[in-house]
Amino acid sequence: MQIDMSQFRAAFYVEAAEHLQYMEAALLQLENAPRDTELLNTIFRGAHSIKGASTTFGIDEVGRFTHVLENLLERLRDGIVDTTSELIELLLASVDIIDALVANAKDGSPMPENMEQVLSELRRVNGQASTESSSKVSASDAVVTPQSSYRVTLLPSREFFRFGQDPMLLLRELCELGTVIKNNLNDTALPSLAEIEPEQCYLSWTLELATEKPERTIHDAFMFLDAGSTYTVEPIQATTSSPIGAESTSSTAAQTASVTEPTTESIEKPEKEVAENRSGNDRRTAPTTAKAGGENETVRVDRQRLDELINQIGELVIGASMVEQEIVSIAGGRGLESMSGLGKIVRDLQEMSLGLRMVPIAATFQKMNRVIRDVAKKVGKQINFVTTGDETELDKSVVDQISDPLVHMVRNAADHGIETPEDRIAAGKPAEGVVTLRAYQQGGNVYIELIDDGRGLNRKRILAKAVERGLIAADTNLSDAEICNLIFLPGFSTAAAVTDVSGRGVGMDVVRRNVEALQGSVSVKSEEGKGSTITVRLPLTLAILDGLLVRLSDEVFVIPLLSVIESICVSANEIHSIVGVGEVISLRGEVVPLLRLHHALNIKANDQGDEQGLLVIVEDQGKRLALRVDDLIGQQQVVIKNLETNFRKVPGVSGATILGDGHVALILDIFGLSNLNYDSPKTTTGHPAPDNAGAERCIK
Amino acid sequence: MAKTALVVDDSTSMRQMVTFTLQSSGFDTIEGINGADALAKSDEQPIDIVITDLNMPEMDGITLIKALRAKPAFQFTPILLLTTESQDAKKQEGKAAGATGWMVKPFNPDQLMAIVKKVVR
Repeated sequence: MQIDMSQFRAAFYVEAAEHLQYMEAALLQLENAPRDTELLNTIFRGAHSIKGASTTFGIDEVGRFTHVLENLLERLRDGIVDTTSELIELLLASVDIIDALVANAKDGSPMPENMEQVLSELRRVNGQASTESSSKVSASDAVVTPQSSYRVTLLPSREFFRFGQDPMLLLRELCELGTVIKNNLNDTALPSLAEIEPEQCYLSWTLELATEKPERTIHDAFMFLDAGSTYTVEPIQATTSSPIGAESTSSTAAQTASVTEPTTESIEKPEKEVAENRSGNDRRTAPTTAKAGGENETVRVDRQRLDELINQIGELVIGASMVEQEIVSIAGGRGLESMSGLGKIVRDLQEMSLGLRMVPIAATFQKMNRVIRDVAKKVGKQINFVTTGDETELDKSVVDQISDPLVHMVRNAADHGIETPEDRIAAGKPAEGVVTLRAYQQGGNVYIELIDDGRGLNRKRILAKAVERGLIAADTNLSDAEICNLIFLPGFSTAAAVTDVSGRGVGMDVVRRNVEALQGSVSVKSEEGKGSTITVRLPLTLAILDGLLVRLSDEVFVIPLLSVIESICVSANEIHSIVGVGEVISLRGEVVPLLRLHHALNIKANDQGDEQGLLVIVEDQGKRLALRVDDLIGQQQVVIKNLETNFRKVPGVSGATILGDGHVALILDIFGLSNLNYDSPKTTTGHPAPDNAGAERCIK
Repeated sequence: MAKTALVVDDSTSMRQMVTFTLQSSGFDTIEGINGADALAKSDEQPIDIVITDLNMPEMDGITLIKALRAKPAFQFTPILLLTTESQDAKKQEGKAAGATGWMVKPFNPDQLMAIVKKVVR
C-alpha cells in the first residue's frame, strides 16, 4: 500500500505543540504538588503520544529523544524517581528541546544546541534507577539458545470462529517460525455430524516446534487469541531453570484461569473498573473545564479554508448592503422590511463566522508562567503569578502575535518591576511579589492588564533619561501620565544596568509597535513604590475595522477610527509653514504637521480653496498628523481586504474595503502616511512658528 | 458491504493515519478521541473492528475494551490495541481485558492492514 506518511505530519505538529504546552503547564504545577498523579499522567501521556506519533511518521530525532524522556517519566510516575526542582528544570529543558526538534522537522529551524547535554543528563538521572531493570532485560536476552524445541498446544474455544479467527492461519504462522517436528490434531471433542454446529470449533492441536527465535515470538503468534481459547508453550529440552521457562508457565496459568471462569471475568471486572474510572474521571474533569473549556470536542479546520469562509461571508455582507441600497432606489422602499430582516441574518452570520477564529487567550497566558518562573529563578526573586480571565477570546492571529510583546512585558515586570525579597521587606511589603495578568472584553475590544506590586515607575529617572536621550526638551511640562508613557518611546530604557533578562533597551517601544500593528494601543499607570499596571487594548478581530469614511474629490477613503483624535475646520491663515517640516497648524498650542491627502495620494483636487479646510487629526505612535480632506462621510464598520495579496503593497495604504454601493475604498495606514509626509517635498516659506517649544517637541 | 472500523486515539495524527489506511482498504470509519467518546459512539452502527490506543485522557484503552466487551454487540468484535515497546506488560493486561491483539508503534500502513486482515474478514 502506498500511503504518504508526510500528509499526517501537519496534524502531528499541531498536537505536539498542544502536548508540549500541557506538559509544561503540568510541570510548573508539579513544583507545588510533586506527587500529583494526574499531573504526572498528563506529562507522561504527552511524551508517550509524541513518541508514538513521531516514530510512526518518521520524525526520528523526536522519537529518539522522547524515548529517553519517556523512560525517565515512567520512573517518575511510578515513584522510583523523586520530583525535585532540579528534575523539573531538566524536564522543562526537555520540553524545550522537543519543541525545537519538532520545529526543526517542520520548517528546518536549527537543531537545539543543548540536546546532547540534556540527553546525557536524562540518561544520568535515568541510570540511577534503571540498573536493575536493564540488567534483567540483558539477562533474558542472553538465555535465548540458538535452537530450542517447544511443545505448543492450541485449545480454541467453541466460539473461536465467531471471533473471526482461523486455526489454519495460526498454525501456518507457527510453521513459519521454524520446523514443525510433530503435528497432532485432537478431534475427540468432535460430535456426530447431526449434532455439529457449523459455527463452532471442536478441534485442538499440539505441535512440536524447533525454532531459533526467542520464545516470546511464539507467544506473539497467539496475540489474537480470544479470551476463551487457550494455548501453552513449553520447552521440550530439559533446560535448566531459566527465567523464561518460569515466566511462560505463569503466563499460561493465568490464561488457563481465565478459561475456567470466563463469566466472572467478563461481568464483574468491567463494572468495577468502570465505576473506578468514573470516580477518577470526576476528579479529572473539574480542573479540565476550569482550563477555559480547552478540551471541548473540536473539529480541526485548515486555517486557509476558514479564512476563505470568513472572507466570503464578508462579501455577503457587502452584497446584501448593495442590494439594500438598490431596493431603496428602485422599489422606493417596498420590500425593505424583508431585506432588512435578511440583512440582520447576514450580519449575525458574519459575527458567528468571526467567532470561529476566536480562541481563548489561556494558552498564551500559560506561557507566561514559564517566563515568570525562569526570570524569578535567574534574578533571585519570589513572584506569585496570577492570571484571570484566561477564557477571554481573541482572534487567533491576534493571540499569536500578542505573545511576543506579552513575554517582553512580563519579563520586564518580573525583572524591573518586582523588587528583590530584601528590598520588599525593607519597604514593608511581603517578600513575595505578585504579578497579575488579567484579560477582559469591553465593547469591541479586549483588554489585557499586566499588574505588578513592585516598585513602580520612577518619574524622576524617566524624565532625566528622556532628556538625556534627547527625547524631550529639558523644560517640557508633562503630566504624570505623559511621563509614564515616555517609556514607550523608541530607544528608551531606564534599567540602570542592562540585564540579560530584559534585553537592552529595545523594550517597550517594540511592545508598543507590535501592539499598534494589531490595531491596538498600550498605556501604563503607575504609583511609585506600589506597582504598575500596563494596559494593552486589542481589537477583537483583524478582519473588520471601525473606520471613518472621508471623501477626497470623488474618492472615498477609510481612516481607522482608532487613530482619529478629532476633526476640525481651519481657515487658510491658520496654516503655517516651517522650514524643514512643511505645512503645520497650531492645535491648542501644539504644532501638528499638515498632510494634504490629495497631494500625498496624488488625487486631483476639485476645490483648491483652503477656506474652511477640513482637517482630521490622527495620531499614530505618539505622532500627530492633520489630514486635509474634502468631506467627512461617516463612521462605518468595514471588512478589511488585503491589498498585498490582490495587488501589491502601497505606501500609506494598509488595505481596502468594498463599500455598500460596491465602490472600493482604500484604508489609510497612518503610520505609513506620516513617513510619506516627510518624504514629500517641503514648502519653505518662512512663517514663524507660533510655539517654538511645541514645534521642537514635534520635530523630535 | 463495507466493514466499519471504530478508531480510537487521542492523537489526531495517529487517528488520521489509521483511518486513512483503513479507508484506503475499503473500510468505513468512526473516530473516537478517547475511550469515553468511543464508547458513546459505539452504538451508532454495527462495528466490525475496534482499533484503540492505550494511553488516553478521560478513559484509557483497557477500560474501553472492558466496557465494550460487556456489551452483547461487542462480544465477538475484534479489538486491536495500539501500544509501544515500552508497554509490554500492558499487552497482557489488554489481553485480559478482552483485546483480540495488539499492534506495536511505530507501524506502517502495510503492517496495520496485515494485522487487521488477520482478524477481520
